[in-house]
Amino acid sequence: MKVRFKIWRYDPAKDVQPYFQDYTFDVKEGMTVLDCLYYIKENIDATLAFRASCRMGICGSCAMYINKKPRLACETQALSLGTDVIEIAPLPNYKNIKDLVPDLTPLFEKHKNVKPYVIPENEQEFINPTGEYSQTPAELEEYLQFAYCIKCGACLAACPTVGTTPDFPGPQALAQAYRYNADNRDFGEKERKVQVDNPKGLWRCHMAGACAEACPKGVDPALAIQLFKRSFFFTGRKPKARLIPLNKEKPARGGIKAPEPTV
Amino acid sequence: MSESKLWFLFIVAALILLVFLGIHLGYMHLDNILGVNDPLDYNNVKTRGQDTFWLVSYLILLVAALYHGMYGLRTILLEYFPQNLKFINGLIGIIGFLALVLGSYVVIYSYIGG
Repeated sequence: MKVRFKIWRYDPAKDVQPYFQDYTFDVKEGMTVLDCLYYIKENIDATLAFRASCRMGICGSCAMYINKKPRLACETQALSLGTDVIEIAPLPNYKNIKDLVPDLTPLFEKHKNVKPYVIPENEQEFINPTGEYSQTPAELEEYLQFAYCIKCGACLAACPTVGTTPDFPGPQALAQAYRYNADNRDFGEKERKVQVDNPKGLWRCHMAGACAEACPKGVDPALAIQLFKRSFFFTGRKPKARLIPLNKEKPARGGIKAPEPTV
Repeated sequence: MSESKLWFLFIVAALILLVFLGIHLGYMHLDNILGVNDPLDYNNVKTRGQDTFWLVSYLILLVAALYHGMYGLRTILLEYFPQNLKFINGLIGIIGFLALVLGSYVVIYSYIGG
């Protein structure tokens, strides 16, 4: 099927304003939008700039604004869009570096600000571990879906609040803050709450829910934000992760052997 | 006051509104069902205004509605003018205070027989 691609072009070195350039060619069944972009780059116009890496929805590099929605180019089948005109632009709410390449610096800065790592109760235990922390499946479930974030930036591109308030941490950072707060090995909840409890922080989210729609990995940042808000007032008792000393707990005779410790 | 507390009060105000706005709307609009004799009749309005239950109800409704509405207005204004936090806070505070004084004056004046 012949498809016309309208692709955003912008080279800050020579263009005053961005513009759309058309490329038309036969798209075969099974080609993703990323395949089409590679086809253009290899056969029609080598100057086209875009960012991609894994081609399998893991790295999050190829998030783009495809037919007015933030999507991963590698996970979007060109023919499944149901149109013979496909418009591709860089993610909105970010500075455009060149063509389809957005500047994701704010995403990573905001992510860094919420301390997206396990903050231990006993720092020494993390520097010189004496054992492993056990976590039940139910405790893992508390944060697991939020841990699937691949930092593609699609949620920030969809968020209307980020559009009006660039300082708003955005769904990605807030969901990740909640992900670590909900982890029972973590003791950094207070620090993260201080970081987001301000006029441009957590409370600016007015639940448009666009982030949850946009996430290509099925993460629901809007839910994380609501749970985060609730945690300010209804703090359930978080069960502490149990430290299992290394080589101390032997499996019962005839029982299934546990995997080797990873620390 | 921290943003989390402001937001919490906003939610509390919403819960209060559910109850007291419910009473107000029910009384005003379900008069036929509840058997209330014309709630907008001058004498009925006057009698209601001099009742302690209605005085307290209207004051609670006034405070809750003002806080809830003003917080919402502040959020909308901050969305449009994110750099003007202090000005917006001041503006909202002044408008809210003036509306509170005016509303309280009307309710209390009715109660004392004005």
